[in-house]
Amino acid sequence: MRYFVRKVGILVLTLFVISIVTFWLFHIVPGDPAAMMLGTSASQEQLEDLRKELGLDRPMTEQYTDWVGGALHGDFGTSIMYRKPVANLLKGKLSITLILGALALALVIVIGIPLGVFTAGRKHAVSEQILNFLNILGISVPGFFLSILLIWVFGLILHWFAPGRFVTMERDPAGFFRYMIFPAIAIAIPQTCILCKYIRTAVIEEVRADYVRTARSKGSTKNRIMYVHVLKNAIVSVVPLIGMIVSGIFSGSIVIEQVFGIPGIGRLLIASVTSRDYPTVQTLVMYIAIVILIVNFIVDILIQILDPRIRIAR
Amino acid sequence: MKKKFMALVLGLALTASLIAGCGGKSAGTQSTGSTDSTPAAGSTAAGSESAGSESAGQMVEGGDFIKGVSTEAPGFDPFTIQTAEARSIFFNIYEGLMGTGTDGSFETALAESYEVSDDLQTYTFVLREGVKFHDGSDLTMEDVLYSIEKAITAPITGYNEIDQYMAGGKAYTVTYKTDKDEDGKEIQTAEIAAADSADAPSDEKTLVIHLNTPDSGFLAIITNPIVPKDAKDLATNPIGTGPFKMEEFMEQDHTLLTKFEDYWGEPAHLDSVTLKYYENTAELATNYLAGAIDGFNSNSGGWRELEGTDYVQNVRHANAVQVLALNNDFGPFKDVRVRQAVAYAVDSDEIIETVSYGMGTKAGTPVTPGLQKYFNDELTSVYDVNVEKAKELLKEAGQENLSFTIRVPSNYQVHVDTAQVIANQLAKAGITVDIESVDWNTWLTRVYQKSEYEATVVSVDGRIAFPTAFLNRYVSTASDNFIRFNSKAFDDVYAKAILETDDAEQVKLFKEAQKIISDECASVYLQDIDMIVVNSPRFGGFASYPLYVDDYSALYSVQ
Repeated sequence: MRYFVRKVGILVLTLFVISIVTFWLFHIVPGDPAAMMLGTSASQEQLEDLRKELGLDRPMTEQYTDWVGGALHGDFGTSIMYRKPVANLLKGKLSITLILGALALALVIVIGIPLGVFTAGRKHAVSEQILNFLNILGISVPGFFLSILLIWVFGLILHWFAPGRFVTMERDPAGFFRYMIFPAIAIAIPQTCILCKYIRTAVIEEVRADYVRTARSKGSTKNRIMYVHVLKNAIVSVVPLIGMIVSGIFSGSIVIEQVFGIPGIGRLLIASVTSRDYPTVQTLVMYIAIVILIVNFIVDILIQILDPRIRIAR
Repeated sequence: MKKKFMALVLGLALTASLIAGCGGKSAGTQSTGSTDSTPAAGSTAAGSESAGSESAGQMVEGGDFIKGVSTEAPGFDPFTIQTAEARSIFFNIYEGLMGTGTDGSFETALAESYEVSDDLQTYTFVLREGVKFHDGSDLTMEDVLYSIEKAITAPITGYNEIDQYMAGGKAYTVTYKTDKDEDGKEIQTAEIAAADSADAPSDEKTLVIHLNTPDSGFLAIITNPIVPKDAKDLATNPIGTGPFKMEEFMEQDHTLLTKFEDYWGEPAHLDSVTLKYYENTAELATNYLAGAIDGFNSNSGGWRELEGTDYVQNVRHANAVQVLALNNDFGPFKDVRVRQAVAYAVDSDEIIETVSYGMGTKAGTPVTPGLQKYFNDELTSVYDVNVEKAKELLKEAGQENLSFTIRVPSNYQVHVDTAQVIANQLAKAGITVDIESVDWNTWLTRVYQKSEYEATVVSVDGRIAFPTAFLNRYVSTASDNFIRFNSKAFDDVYAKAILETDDAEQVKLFKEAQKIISDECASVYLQDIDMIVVNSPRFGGFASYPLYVDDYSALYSVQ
C-alpha cells in the first residue's frame, strides 16, 4: 500500500512538472494566436480587443493557475483556434485516435508475440534470417515513409481504400474501419518488430532453463513447451515493454495521422502548436502524458502480480 | 522512477520537437491572405482555360462538390475573423446590403436599391423584401441595425466613417473616442446613442447612413455581412442569408456547406460543397489525382503535376501583390538610394518565370494590376533590372558591402522560393542576403506587427476591391504600416484622394500616390501571382471576382 501511494505521488508530481514546462516553453516561443486569427487585414485595435477577449493580456502565472484550476474541475479552457471548449473539441477526436491506437496495439500483440516465438524456435534457419532482416528494416524505416508506401501500394495501385478521403464512423462505419486499418498497420509495424525481437530474446533465454529440459524429458511436444511453458515466462519479462509500445503508438500516430489525413488528436496537436492555441496544446500534452504515465503505472502493478519473484517487500 | 522520468522526457521531447518543427504546416495556397482576379479585358486573360478536354456536357442541377483546401477558417464570425480563407467561405454564406459583382462593380444584395448623395456623404438603402436567414427567420431592419452596430464596434475597417445612421424613426449617433490602454497604446472606441428623430425615415425599409467624410469607396465597405439580431455564437454556428448554409464543421477535416433552399435570389445549382482540409499544399494535387477531391486552388505550381490528365484550369489573377518588403527603419534602408539599388538588382520577370512558372503579372506598385481602374501601369517597369545602376547607387550611398536578412514565412513555399531567387539576383550586385524562414505565426507577430525584420517576402492582399485596401497601410501613422514607410507627400496626396468626390480626379490622385511610393521605392513590388483554380471536368461554371473568393453558387455539375 505504501508502495502504491508513493507511485501515485510521483505520478502527480510528474504531471505537474510537465504542465509547467509545456506552459513555459510555449510562452517563450514567438507568436500570437490573436494575430493568427485575424490575419494581415486587421487593425491594431481589433488585435488588442481580441487579445483581451482571449485573456492573453493577463500575466503568465495567472493564465497558468486559471488553467490548472479549471482543469481540476474538468474545464480545460476554450480553444483559441476554434473558439469552443477544448473538451468539446476533443470529444470527436479522442475516439478516432483511441480506435487507431487500439487497432495498432491489437496488431502488435497478435502478430508480434507469435512471430517472436516462431523466430526463436528456428535459430539459424533461412526463414529466421529473412524475418530478422525484415525486423531490422521494420524498426529502422521511418513511419511517414512506411505510410506513403502503404498509400501508394494499397491506395493508388490496388485501390483498396481512397487515400485522403477519411470518413467519420457516424457516417460510414465500414468505410471508417477500412480506412483506419492502413494507418494502424503503419503505426504497428515498427512496434511489432520491436516486440518480436524482445520476445525472441526472452524465449531463447528461457529455453535454456531447467524446466524446459524437464518438460522435454516428460515427452511434451516442442510447440507445447514453446507456447505454454516458455511463453508464459518470457512474457513476464516483456510486460515492461508494453508501456514503451503504447507511447510509441501514440507518438507514431501523431505523424501517421498527418500523412493519412486523419482528424485525430495528433493532427490537432500539431495544428494547435502551429497556431499557438495554448489551452488546446496544454490539454493534449497533459492528456498524452497521463495516458503514458497510467499505462506505465498499470504495467508496474501488473508485473508485481504476474511475477511474485520481483514483488517488492515493503 | 526511471520510467516516470522517461515519460517526462518523452513528453517534453514531443512538445519541443513540435515547437521546433512548427514551420511548414498549414501551407500556402493563399498568399498572405488573398488573391484574386479581375476579369481583365485586355492584359491577362482571366477566365476559363481548358487543359485537356473542354467541359462540353450538359449542365444538371444537384451534385456534390469536394474542394481541397490547405487552410482552415479559424471560425465563422464575420466580425472578428478576417483571414482570406474565412472571407472566401463567408462569400457563400453571408451577404451584405451591397455585393461585389464578377467585374468588381457593386451590386445590390440585401438592399433592393440605393442612392448616394452628390457630396458622397449620405447613402440611402432600401431593404429587400422576402429575404430569409438560414434559421428560417425573416430579414428585418433590426437585423441590419444590429449588424451595423456590431461592425462599428468590432471595428471593421471603414465603418468608423459612419457618424450617424437612421431608420424606423430613430437616429443613431456614433461618437468615437481615443483611449489609451495599459501599455499606453491608442485604441479607438465607439459609442452609439439612439434617439427619436424627425429626420429619420419612418418606414421599416429605408436606412440612411451619414459619413463624417465623403467616401466614394463606401459601397465596398457596406458589403460586410448582415447577421440576425442577437445571433449567438456565429463563430461556430454562422447564420446568414447566402445561397449556402453551413451544415457541419469538423476541425482539421472538413466544412460542409449545403444549398439554402429558401435563398431569395437564384439558388445554387449544387446540393452541397465540402471543403476538405489537407495540411499541405502538396497533398492537393496528389489527392486530386487519387480522386479524393474534385478541385483545388493552386498558386505554387501544384497544377503542373496534373499535366496529361483531364482537368479544367481556370486562371484568375490575384488581388494581392507579392512584395520584397524593405523595412524603411532598418539602417541602410533608410537611404532611398539603397532601396532603389535593391529594386534595380531584383529581376521580377525572372521571378515570374522561375517561381510562378510564368503565371504572374508584373506589378511595380502595391496596388494589384487586377484593380485596372486604379492600377498605375506606368510604374511597372521603372525598376527593370539594371545591375550596373544598382552598383552605382550602392557606391553613392557608401553601402558597397550591403548585407541583410530576408525573414520569410516558411508555410508559403512560393515566398521561400522567391527569396532564394532574390538572394541569387542580389549577389550579382554584390549584396549579401541571408534567408531566415520562420513559421507563419512568428512572422505575423515579429515581422508584420512589430516590424522586427530587415526584409521579407510576402503577398499583401486587399480586403475590399478599392485602392484604399492596398494604400492605406503606407500612411505614416497607419497601424499596419509594417514597411514603416514615411512620406509626407504620400500622406497628403492619399488624404486628398479619399476625400475627392470627382471619380476621374480621384483615380488620378490614387495613381499619383502610387507614383510617390515608386519614386521613394518603399519596397520592391514583384508580381501578382496568378491563382490557378483546378476543377474536374465533371463541374462547370467558374466565376471569377476581384476578391479572394470562391463562388460556389455559380458551380454546377456537368453530364
